[in-house]
Amino acid sequence: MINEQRTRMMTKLALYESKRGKKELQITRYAPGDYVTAHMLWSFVCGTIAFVIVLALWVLYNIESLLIELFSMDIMHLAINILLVYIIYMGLYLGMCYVYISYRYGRYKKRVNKFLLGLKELYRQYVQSDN
Amino acid sequence: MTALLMMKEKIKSLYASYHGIIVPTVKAIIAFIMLMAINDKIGYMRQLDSFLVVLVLAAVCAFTPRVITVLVGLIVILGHLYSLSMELALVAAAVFAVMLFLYLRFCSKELLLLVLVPVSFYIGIPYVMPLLVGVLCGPTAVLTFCCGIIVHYYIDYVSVNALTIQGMTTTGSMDKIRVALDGIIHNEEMFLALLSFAAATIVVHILRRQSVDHAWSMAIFTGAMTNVILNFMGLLIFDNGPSIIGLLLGTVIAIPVAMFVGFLFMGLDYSRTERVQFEDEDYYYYVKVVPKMNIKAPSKTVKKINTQRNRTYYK
Repeated sequence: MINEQRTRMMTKLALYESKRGKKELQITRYAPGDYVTAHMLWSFVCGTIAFVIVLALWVLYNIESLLIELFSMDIMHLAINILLVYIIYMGLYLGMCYVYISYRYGRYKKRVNKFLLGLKELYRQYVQSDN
Repeated sequence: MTALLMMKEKIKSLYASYHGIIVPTVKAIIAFIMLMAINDKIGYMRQLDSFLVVLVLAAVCAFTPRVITVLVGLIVILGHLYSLSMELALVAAAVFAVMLFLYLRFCSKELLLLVLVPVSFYIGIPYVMPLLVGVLCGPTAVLTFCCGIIVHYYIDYVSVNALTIQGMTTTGSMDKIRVALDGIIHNEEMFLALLSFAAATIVVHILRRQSVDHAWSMAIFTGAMTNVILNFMGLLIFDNGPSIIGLLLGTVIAIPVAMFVGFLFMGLDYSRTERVQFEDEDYYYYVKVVPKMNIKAPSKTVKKINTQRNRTYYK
């Protein structure tokens, strides 16, 4: 005879695992804190690549004036300005990424914990019915 | 109202029954319109500007994840731009890469907005988009929406200046790159659209989450007005922007469309609002409960009587 309550629970757990769970259960692979660290490192790499692309576009847009002033301009000063802009930009970008990734981790963790509790409860029901 | 509720229930049951056919069909239609719009505006590559290729690509997009539809769209854009000018394609690829690395990698759910926004401009209903995005999506969708606006205006800029760019045979690559970048840096109409659409979306999103009665209707109306006012201000300041008649007509069409979508997704019956108060060990709760409008679709019974056998059919 089919246990309706157990079937309902199994269906909900299976639905979660096949849809959202594919992405969210990945946090179980990380130690606490490592998920955020790993994504922050990846954000650092992506943010740097984006900055380099934008810098390249800026150089190409202003190539004529840069070439004219190349020998008269203070290259160190320009480099320091670019570095300052990079630091401010990365600080802001990584700050926003940290807030978003932490918020996402918290949301995923809640749902994953609920899923794992559901699995535990299902296991308990099976053990009970076997006994 | 009852007829609308019955229609809503019928749509829901139709979707539940034929979900496997409806979703790929809708995805194919969106991909088809997107590719036709791109080919219409910047169809410079003969191999891609073909109805058969569009059909095949739309069929591929129907059965693949949404990210593939977006990738197909971006690759087709880059293909057309490359055949017009390598520098245009380079700048477009750089802009797409910056969008991807900075933001789009976070929002896989709303990625389709990147193609839906240009599609809405192509079919003439751009003012529906900020209202729908504000009503249906989260706050992070605003940035994806803005990326879609940038894509649309860049394609528009290229299509308007294509002859000029094609005529630049004697100038160097740097001049062409500068012309391509001007389409983003000095595009006042694009900045106006970014500001007005983003503001409208944020206003709709904030207002629809309030616990006042008819919050969704208020949000849609206020968002539409925000869009109109900002566009008017932009027209006065920049002397550049959408046509006033197009803006007003578009807004008049957008409001009922957004109201209808809001009704489909969240029809609330404010006349049966209840307020309850209760407490537990930690908190005292003030709860406002607004029931959704629901109606059970009547089930029809068809009884066929003949002399040999009685058969009863249930619908």
